[in-house]
Amino acid sequence: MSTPNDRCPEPLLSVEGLTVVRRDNPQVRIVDDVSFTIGKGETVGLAGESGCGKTTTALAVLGLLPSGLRRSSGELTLHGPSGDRPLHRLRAAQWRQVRWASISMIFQGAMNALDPVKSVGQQIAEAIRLHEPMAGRSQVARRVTDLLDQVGVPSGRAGHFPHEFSGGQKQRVMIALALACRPALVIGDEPTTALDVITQAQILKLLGQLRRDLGLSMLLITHDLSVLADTCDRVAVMYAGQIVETGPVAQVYRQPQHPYTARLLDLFGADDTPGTLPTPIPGAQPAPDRRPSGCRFHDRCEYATERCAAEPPELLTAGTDQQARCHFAPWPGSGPGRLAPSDDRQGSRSSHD
Amino acid sequence: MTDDALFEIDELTVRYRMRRRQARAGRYLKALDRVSLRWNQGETLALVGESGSGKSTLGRALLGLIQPASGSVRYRGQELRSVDRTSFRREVQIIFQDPYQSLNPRSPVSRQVSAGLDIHRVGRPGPQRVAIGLAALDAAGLRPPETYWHRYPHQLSGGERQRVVIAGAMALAPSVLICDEPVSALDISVRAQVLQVLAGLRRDRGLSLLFITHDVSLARQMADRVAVLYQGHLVEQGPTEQILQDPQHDYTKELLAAVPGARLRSTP
Repeated sequence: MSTPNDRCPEPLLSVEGLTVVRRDNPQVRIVDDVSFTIGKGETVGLAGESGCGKTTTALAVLGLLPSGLRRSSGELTLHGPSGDRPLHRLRAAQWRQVRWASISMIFQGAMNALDPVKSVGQQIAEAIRLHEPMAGRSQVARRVTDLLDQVGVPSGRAGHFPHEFSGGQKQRVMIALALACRPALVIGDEPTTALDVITQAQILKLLGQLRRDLGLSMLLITHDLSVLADTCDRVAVMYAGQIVETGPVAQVYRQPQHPYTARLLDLFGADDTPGTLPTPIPGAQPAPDRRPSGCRFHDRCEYATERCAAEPPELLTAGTDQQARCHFAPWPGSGPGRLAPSDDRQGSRSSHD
Repeated sequence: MTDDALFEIDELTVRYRMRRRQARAGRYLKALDRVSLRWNQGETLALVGESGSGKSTLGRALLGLIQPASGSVRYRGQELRSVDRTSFRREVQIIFQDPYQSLNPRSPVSRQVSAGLDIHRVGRPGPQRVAIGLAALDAAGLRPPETYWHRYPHQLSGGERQRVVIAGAMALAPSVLICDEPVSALDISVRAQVLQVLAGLRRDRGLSLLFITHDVSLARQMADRVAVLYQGHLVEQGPTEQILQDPQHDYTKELLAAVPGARLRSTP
């Protein structure tokens, strides 16, 4: 497993300047100039609240944008042993070879993503046969058994239908389905959101295990920063269609360099004292066609100045391998509204005494 | 002390009939097994447990929506069965997890908020009910309320929708509000806004709140007392601080350990 220190593993997927617009109004940018890379064996977290463009980004990577949207610019490159493959140039038929075979997805809401009228074994077999039409019946059956085994579902249950499984078991089946064609990259879109905490912890553990055993790369999409804290190497935070902060997870969490990240972290890591309510971020994320001028977060930001309302910030380097889309980055101390690490530790120690 | 008991649940057992295919142990599934719990007036109680633990069943039993197999539920000292239905249904309100499903997509906010007023014949129809409805929207933090009155659910954000649901409940001036996963469908930055609305209502109107949730941090933030349910059993209950700092039952310990983001809370 890569540690935050051995940076830049060999890249597997690079996304450069991805912009997704509405077909009926190309002025509206759902995803706006998003760039990131995922290294081999690396897990990258894409975080943000609903409507920030994180799921659209993932769908663009899979060539599965809904019909109302299109990619207006940006390059998607899949790096492989046999050379680089520009995904943005693929035609529909070519996409079908990449999808599931190289990049697969664990969809949001396992409850609805499985076909209710087919047994789970049939559904997994279907994915295998689609990509390997020459595979024999018994060979496919063995693969299905192995896959279920790998995700901790008794293989005797291959003949069961989705409604006979619990939420956690269904999510395991979804993971088996995503692994069916031995992809190099698995995208998980809120893979544990509908599950209770104990099941969530089990699924996250399973994903970590598979990632180590199979050398998988993962892109984990979630609104839940606490989930990313335990699972990711690097994290990118999205707001209103843009990446507003990116960097190694431990570093971003310890010293966030964008006020939005800092506030989100406060909300998740909230004060442990019973009865303390976290302070909400005022307002709501703007819809793609109603974004404010300048910095898109400025109307919710307590540090905003006139410059923030007028001038959109670039992604600025704010630490080793860390970038933030904020005029004030790098922030002094441990980020916006935070003390320097040493002061912070003293502060929290004295308050717990 | 007995006089400020709001709900007293005594040895409550609720069974669900199982279909043949699922029936392994017996023909019934015990959703709640001899659960005893007391919820005092003005107290915020959290029922915590994973899906299938029986927490929502307990919530429904409190509302008298489920016929228990045995045991009793008493509301303000009176057997729930003999409580006056009409006034009970006005005093005790419930809000659910998903505001997208709680609201009728074809009705404007005005109708959703005043539906309860019409049913319970609160105020005179017309301007008086409009005034009560607007005041409820305002209390739920939708300001200025007039701008929301004629809107439809699809024109609102998730947080606004949940506040419309809260306003619909609060328009009836209830003394008890049962919240079944009230914020788990909402974004984190909005979640805190809705919790602040609920905390404000509790402070200003002395509401007794019940949170049914799998989210330990929600219990930590809002509850005076926590009751932990596991497979239909009440495994542990007590003051929030005590249960969360020093859990006694193995399941509670497991539940607390499973909360993600240990790296977030303990900065290295």
